[in-house]
Order: sequence, then structure tokens, then C-alpha cells
Amino acid sequence: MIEIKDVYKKYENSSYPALDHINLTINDGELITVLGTSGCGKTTLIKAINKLHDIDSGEIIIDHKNINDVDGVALRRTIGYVIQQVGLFPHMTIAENIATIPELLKWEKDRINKRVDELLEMIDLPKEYKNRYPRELSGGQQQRVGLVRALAADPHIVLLDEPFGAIDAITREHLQDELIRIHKNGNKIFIFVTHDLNEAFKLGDKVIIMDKGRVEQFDTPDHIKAHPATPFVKKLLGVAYD
Amino acid sequence: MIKYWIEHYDKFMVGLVEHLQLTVITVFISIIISLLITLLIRKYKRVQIIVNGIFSGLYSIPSLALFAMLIPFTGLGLETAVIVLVIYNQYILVRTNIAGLDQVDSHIIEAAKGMGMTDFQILYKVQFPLALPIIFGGIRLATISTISIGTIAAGIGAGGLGRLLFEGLRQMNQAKVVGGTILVIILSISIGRIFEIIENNLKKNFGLKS
Ligand SMILES: Nc1ncnc2c1ncn2[C@@H]1O[C@H](COP(=O)(O)OP(=O)(O)OP(=O)(O)O)[C@@H](O)[C@H]1O
Ligand SMILES: [Mg+2]
Repeated sequence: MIEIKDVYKKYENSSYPALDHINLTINDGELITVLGTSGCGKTTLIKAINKLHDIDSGEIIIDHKNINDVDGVALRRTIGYVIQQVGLFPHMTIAENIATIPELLKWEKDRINKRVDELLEMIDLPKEYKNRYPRELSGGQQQRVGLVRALAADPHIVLLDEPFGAIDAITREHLQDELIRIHKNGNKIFIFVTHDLNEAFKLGDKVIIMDKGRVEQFDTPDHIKAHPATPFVKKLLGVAYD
Repeated sequence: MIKYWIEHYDKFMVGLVEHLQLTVITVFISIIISLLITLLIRKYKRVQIIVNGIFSGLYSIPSLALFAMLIPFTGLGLETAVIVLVIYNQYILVRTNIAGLDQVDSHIIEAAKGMGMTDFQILYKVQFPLALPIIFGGIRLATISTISIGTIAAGIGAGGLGRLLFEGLRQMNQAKVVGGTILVIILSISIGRIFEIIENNLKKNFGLKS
């Protein structure tokens, strides 16, 4: 469970806060999507959860532990993170990329190899891709590798920052289905950032709608559609469904 | 001239071997010191500017003047030559080391951090390997510069191909001067070439170049 209590953050030389008194509770097993226009604070929210960014005030509590009391490096090893720009290591093969966190956690070689094979299968990448370098993969394949790299050590929480950004519509849909399937297999929390409304509503058990650092609405897709909480949400739905 | 070369073949070979020795020792020490300096200052932009300023100042002192300044402390010979050449090399190496580390895509570093790597792990698992082709380019430059400035080191008794040049000038022996010069050039070009091959292989291995 992740509890976000009255979290506030304002970057220096920014006119409005990136996170403006955010309150959220996310339960185990939920796939949450975060929807909002560019610059509304989605990435900042994600990075506050894994302590890549400090917050000015408020509390973030993961499984009843305030993350202030947890070492950032240790915390990040337990939280999967897919960055907005994929960020595969260009000097490492696909297998080495995927093995990054298991290596950091000092798993045994056999266990790592088995896990890499398992994950490649999960995303339908043939085994011969193991020894290729990221540049030898298509954009969509790279994003898939980025996704399973974050899943390698079987983290309880996975943060995904627009993981399907630069991907064509068909591949994207396929990846979305894959993600739902992967999520179903465990009692995990996935927090998935997107600025695509259809994607947010298709994937999310619940959707966080953000604007200018504030949470406008946090509810199931059906509820949001039936009862948009604010003018901003109404407008967002209007643009999409008119 | 060629007859002189063949007759004094051994003299040239001794010069060549000495020169190689001087170069290898100098470059090896230079690399270690430059890496230590890089490690210390990599995070501090202001310190980098100061350190760079100091080394570029030292680099602009003519080598004979630097030798002369050091002789009271370290005397004539190889040691003084190595110290001077190592100082010169810092100007080249520290700059390229830091440029190499800085050019690594910030998103890749962020991904590494986001996966729970410590600062040091990010440096040696990600940043350093990705910077290696550029760092290596700096080492190549430093090596070639060592070979060429190293000829002057003969002036303080450090031996090498420079001794042939100095002797040749004093004895007005053109064959000696030309032969020594040709060997310096051959040495520079072949070592430069070897380094280029290694550099290209590095880039290929790291998947940075196809
Ligand atoms: N490191 C930073 N320093 C200063 N301001 C920042 C920094 N990172 C983000 N901001 C600002 O904070 C606000 C929120 O940024 P954030 O990256 O969280 O937005 P986002 O919702 O992820 O946007 P996008 O959809 O474009 O990725 C923006 O106004 C942005 O300009
Ligand atoms: Mg973002």
C-alpha cells in the first residue's frame, strides 16, 4: 500500500508547485494510471515515490514505512521504474540490461539467466536477442525491454512513466494488453503515467487526473465518466468524446 | 646516409627502446593520476575550471624551462623527464576524461539511479564504460604528445631518440638527425594507429558504432 499524505513540492524558479498538497491511497493489486497535460507534475509524483526527488512537505508511506526513514538506494532496488526516455544502457546487451537489478541484488548466475529467459518470453522476444545491443532493436522492442528490466527482480511496486510513448498505435495496443496480463499475475501496484486518455481509461483500475500539480479526480474510469468532479475533468472528457 | 644507418643500427635501436620506455612509463603514470584527479573533481564544475586553468598554465611553460625548474629538486635524468611529461599530459587527460563522463546521456544515468545503483556503481558500471572511447582518445593524444615532447628530455639526460637528435646536431651529423626524426615519426604514427584500432573496437563493443 502506498499512502501519499499532503505532499507538496515546488521547484525553485517555478511559478506554481509541481505537487500541490496531494493525497492518495493506493492499495495492493491496483493498476493506477496518472493522466494529465504536459508539465502537470506526473513525472515529479513518480520520482517522489522512489525518492529520486525530495518533497518539501507531506509524507509518503509505503507498506506502513515512511520513505524518509528508508535509504534511497535500497528503496529504489525494490521499486521497478521505467523512465520516460526508456534509458537502456547502450553498452550492455539486452540480457545484461535486464539483469541489472538482479546483479545489484547479487542473485546467483543460474537464477539470473533463468529470469532473463523468462522475461524475454514474456515480451515475445526470441532468445537470440539476448546478446544484441539496444541499438539493434526497434523502438517498440526497446520499450518492451525497458519494461521487463523494471520487472526483473519481481518488485512489489512498479512505476511506469509513459513507457509506450513513441510507439505506433497497433504495437501500443499489444503492449497495453501485455501489461494488463503481467499485472494480473501478481498482487502488485503499477503506477502508469500517460497523457493519452484512452490509454489511461483502458489500463487503469483507477485513474488519477492531474492539472497544475493538483489531483482533480481519483476514481475508477466509470465513475469519472459518469461524474466528472471538476470543470477540468469535464473539459478533458469533452475533448475526447465530442 | 643509409650506410650510416645500417652501420649504427644498434644506436638507433637503443634510442628507440629507451624512447618507448620513457613513453610507456609516462603514459601509465599519467593515466593513473588523471583518473584520480577526475574522480575527485568530477562533480564540482568550479573546481574543474580552476584545475583546468592550472594545467593549461603549466602546459604553456616551455618544456626546457620546466626541466630547468625541476632539476634542483629531482636532478638530471629520467625521473625529471617523466614528471614534466606527466604534468603536460594532465592538461590533455583530465579535460577529456571529464568531457567523456559529461557527454553520457543524462537519461541513462537517471535510469541507472532509478534502478538503485549507488553513485559509485553509476560511475563504474555506466558512466565510465560509456565515456571510455572518448577517454581513450585523450590517452592517444597524450601518448603522441609524450613521444614528441619526450625527444627534448634527452637534453637532461633521459636518453631516447632525442639523444640522437641532440648528438647529431652537435656533431653536424645529418644522418643521425634524419634517422632519429624518422624513427620518432614512425613511432608516433604506428602507436597512433594502434590506439585508433583499439578505440574503434571499444566503440563497436559498446554498441556505439556499427
Ligand atoms: N528538475 C526540475 N527543475 C525545475 N523545474 C522542473 C524540474 N522538473 C520539472 N520541473 C517543472 O515542474 C513541473 C512538472 O514537471 P513534470 O516533469 O512532473 O511534468 P509531467 O507531468 O511529467 O510532464 P510531461 O507529460 O511533459 O512529462 C513543470 O512545470 C516542469 O517545468
Ligand atoms: Mg513527465
